[in-house]
Amino acid sequence: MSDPASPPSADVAARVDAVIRSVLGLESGTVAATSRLREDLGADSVDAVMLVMALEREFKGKISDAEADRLSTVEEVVDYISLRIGEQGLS
Amino acid sequence: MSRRRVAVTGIGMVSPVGTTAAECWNACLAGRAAVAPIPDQWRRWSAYQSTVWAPLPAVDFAAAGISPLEAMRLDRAVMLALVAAGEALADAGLEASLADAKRGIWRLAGIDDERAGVCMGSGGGGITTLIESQNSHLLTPILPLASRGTPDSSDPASEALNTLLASLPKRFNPFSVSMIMPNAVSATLGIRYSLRGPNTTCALACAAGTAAVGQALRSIRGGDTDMVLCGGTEFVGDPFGSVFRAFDTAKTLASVVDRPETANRPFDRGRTGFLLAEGGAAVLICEEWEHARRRGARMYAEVVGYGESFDAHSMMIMEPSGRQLSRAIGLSLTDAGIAAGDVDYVNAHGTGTIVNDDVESAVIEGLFGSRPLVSATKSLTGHCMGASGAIEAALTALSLRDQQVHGCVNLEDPVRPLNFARRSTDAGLTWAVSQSSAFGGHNAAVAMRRVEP
Repeated sequence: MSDPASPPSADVAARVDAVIRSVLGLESGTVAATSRLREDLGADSVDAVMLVMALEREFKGKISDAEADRLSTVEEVVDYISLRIGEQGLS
Repeated sequence: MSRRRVAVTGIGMVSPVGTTAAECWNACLAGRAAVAPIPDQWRRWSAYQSTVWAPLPAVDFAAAGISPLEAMRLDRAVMLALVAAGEALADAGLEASLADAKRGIWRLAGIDDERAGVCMGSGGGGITTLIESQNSHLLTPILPLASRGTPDSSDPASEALNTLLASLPKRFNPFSVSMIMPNAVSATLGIRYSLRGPNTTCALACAAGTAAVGQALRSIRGGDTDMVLCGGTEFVGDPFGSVFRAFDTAKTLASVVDRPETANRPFDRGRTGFLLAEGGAAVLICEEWEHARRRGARMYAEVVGYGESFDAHSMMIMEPSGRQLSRAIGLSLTDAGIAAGDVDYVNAHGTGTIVNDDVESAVIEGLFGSRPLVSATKSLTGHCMGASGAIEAALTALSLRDQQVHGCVNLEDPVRPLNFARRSTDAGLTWAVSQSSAFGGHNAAVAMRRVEP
């Protein structure tokens, strides 16, 4: 459930942070908005596939491979998910 | 130089009668057999001759350290093996510490990782993933129907299609290849626990688990390893009953007339076929004797002999003379340096099919006469396929430790006058044999000895 006092993107950011950390096995506080998934967080090609599946599971929807390939930083992921929630594609 | 000896120092198990080794063993001793009607949903796809099976109880995969994310890229057969392996390692007193959180890799304390191997058996490997990915593939162009809905839900064809479409995952699983391949079982365990010695897979169908224990014995005895995680795993409970139908169509399964609870009756004259189990897994920690002694490990039993043979006769029917099954058992006794007359307990393959029980009971009578106790674990667990030999070898080790044999349930009118344990029996057991036969024509037997407490 999102906190009504905070903007929806903050809730999305927290959920994305949790998904990324669980897929990449990272401690809390190690992922920044500007972190690059590959270069900074060490995601390899298998992690990238797992990350998309984990995001689909968390946000209950489909993310196309073409769209997923364009996401390289954490904030790009958050922005994309927020936009898709606005379009009713994810929740 | 004396031969290196091998002890069983840990056991983990999941089967239709329990989710831990202790639960399974206690259920077997109490004569609590697993049998249930097949899922209603399956009936949409076939009018089966057999209508019973042995489903698994709910397994807490999260408690075994398998996260929901990890479960998305593991076949259920591998997940069951992970549960059993975790239990077996803890049971053996081998502590694991996390080495790589991202990959879920652990390291065992006090173990030379390059002298620790894995040898797991499986009949179908990731067969359930294969079925599910094929469904996903074939239904891709039909998916738009799911959002439209079908016009007539009372029509069985529409209902079946709706069920199928609703079952489809959002994407074709990108991990399908690594989930389907049979070596994924041993490979997953090797990665999980950083075991870098020989990592092999025994694909001997229903004799796979027995063969895996035998190969572990040979690997340790031969000096390649000091410890091997060995055993077997299987999962055939696909959502639509495809695997069940394959066995059903081949007329191998127990048919039910009136009392389903007695349908599974190995070695009884009224037997009609075997009871298919949804799955199961057993892992035995086989360890070089001195290696185990040095670290003060508890020993369940000693693995003392292994024998293997092949019928070269038929893919699906045992060779009627039983000559090769008899030879496999004889080879395990020779390897152990004992005579047939020394054996106190035979854990039989005992499937409940007309041919198996007829041939196997004749082989037992011919080799051992009517002296040793004989029981069939499958009378309780159903047939766990590639896991069954490992489950039975592990329960045989428990029999030797506890000096107890579980009953061969539903046995009322024995096919031959062997010394069947019809219920749990206390007995002085020193030597025991666990044997398996398999589709293809494989025969395998493991001999074990009691370890004095």
